[in-house]
Amino acid sequence: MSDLSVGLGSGALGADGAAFAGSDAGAAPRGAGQVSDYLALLKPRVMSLVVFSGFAGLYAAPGTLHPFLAAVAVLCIAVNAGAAGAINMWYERDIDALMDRTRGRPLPRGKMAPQEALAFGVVLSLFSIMLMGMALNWTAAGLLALANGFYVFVYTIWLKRRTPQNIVIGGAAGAFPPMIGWAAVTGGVDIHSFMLFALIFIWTPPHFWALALYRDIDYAKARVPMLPVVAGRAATKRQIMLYSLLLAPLGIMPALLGTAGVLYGAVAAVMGLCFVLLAAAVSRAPSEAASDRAARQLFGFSILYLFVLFTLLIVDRAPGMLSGVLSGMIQAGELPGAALFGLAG
Amino acid sequence: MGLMGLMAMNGENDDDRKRRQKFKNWALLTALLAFVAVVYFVSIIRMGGH
Repeated sequence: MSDLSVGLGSGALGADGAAFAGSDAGAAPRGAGQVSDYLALLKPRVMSLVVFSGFAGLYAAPGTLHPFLAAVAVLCIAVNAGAAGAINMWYERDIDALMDRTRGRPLPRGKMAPQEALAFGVVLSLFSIMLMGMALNWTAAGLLALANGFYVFVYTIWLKRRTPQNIVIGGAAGAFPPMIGWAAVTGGVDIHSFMLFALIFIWTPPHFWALALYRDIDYAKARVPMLPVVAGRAATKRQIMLYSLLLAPLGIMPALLGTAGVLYGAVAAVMGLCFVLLAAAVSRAPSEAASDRAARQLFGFSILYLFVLFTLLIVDRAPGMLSGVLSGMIQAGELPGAALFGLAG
Repeated sequence: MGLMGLMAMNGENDDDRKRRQKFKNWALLTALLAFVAVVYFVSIIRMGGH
């Protein structure tokens, strides 16, 4: 708790923050932010993956939900993720101003006062959690609050500026959405939803470290201790390889547990192998330029990996879809080679 | 001329700011009305046994 208090002081109101507060007061008088600036605070691009994985968890869960309540659940997940992003931007406005990737955000550009961004984030967080509790159930609302608190307090305030393992532990915040979607339908947490959580949790480090490999100058400028900055590129590549090797078999687990079907399992196996091969390409790159190129490829592929797997999770549950047909054929022993792989029956 | 120019500029800024503030107020009103509507429909559905 004291660590969190220290974090608040050094990040938002400390030396860097105080220097920045001067420009805030001059350039952005209270109430100056435009609606588009508030929307930018919600990190729409990050939100899209969160919403998608949350919807996949909701759709894959056993049981039925009224379509309007399902839409409210997805809305709550989206708004809560955006709200956490807004609070993150409030806290990180000093380092955002130093990095090329983030200096175009509303707060570094002086588009609004910091307290406006904070109030916006806090109000949306509270509204989304309350609505989730009232409309769906309080387990889902509790998980939503946990994800929000984890992202703001554990990742943003506590870990991000202190340890190169920030993304490993803090990555849990981004892994909650499918579990929340699942809980919205079932009212609880089980091995199936935990496996979806684990999938994103293990996926996050290689995804972010691939980005950090070719953005390491940016992070070094802002003094964020990302792994390539602190431990070097070789150690980062080893860690990427390690997590990719963990991710490949973990990606197949939903099929083995029965959360998803055969099509999911087959695609997860192939894409997991591709993930490992791309991680190996990053490791073996002969020069820094080649390493950056390979890291960009891995970063792009990692996004595709998650989108495809969660799409197949949805497809598997949709009646009459290819995977259902495929599973039926395997059950009936009609698929050539099914017996050979021990899939028939 | 300098003073007049400054006043004109201030007038423009004030107008711009008022316009943006008005737009923000309408956006907030819309969001609040949408929230009320969502809570209303959620209540109706939950009372229906879902």
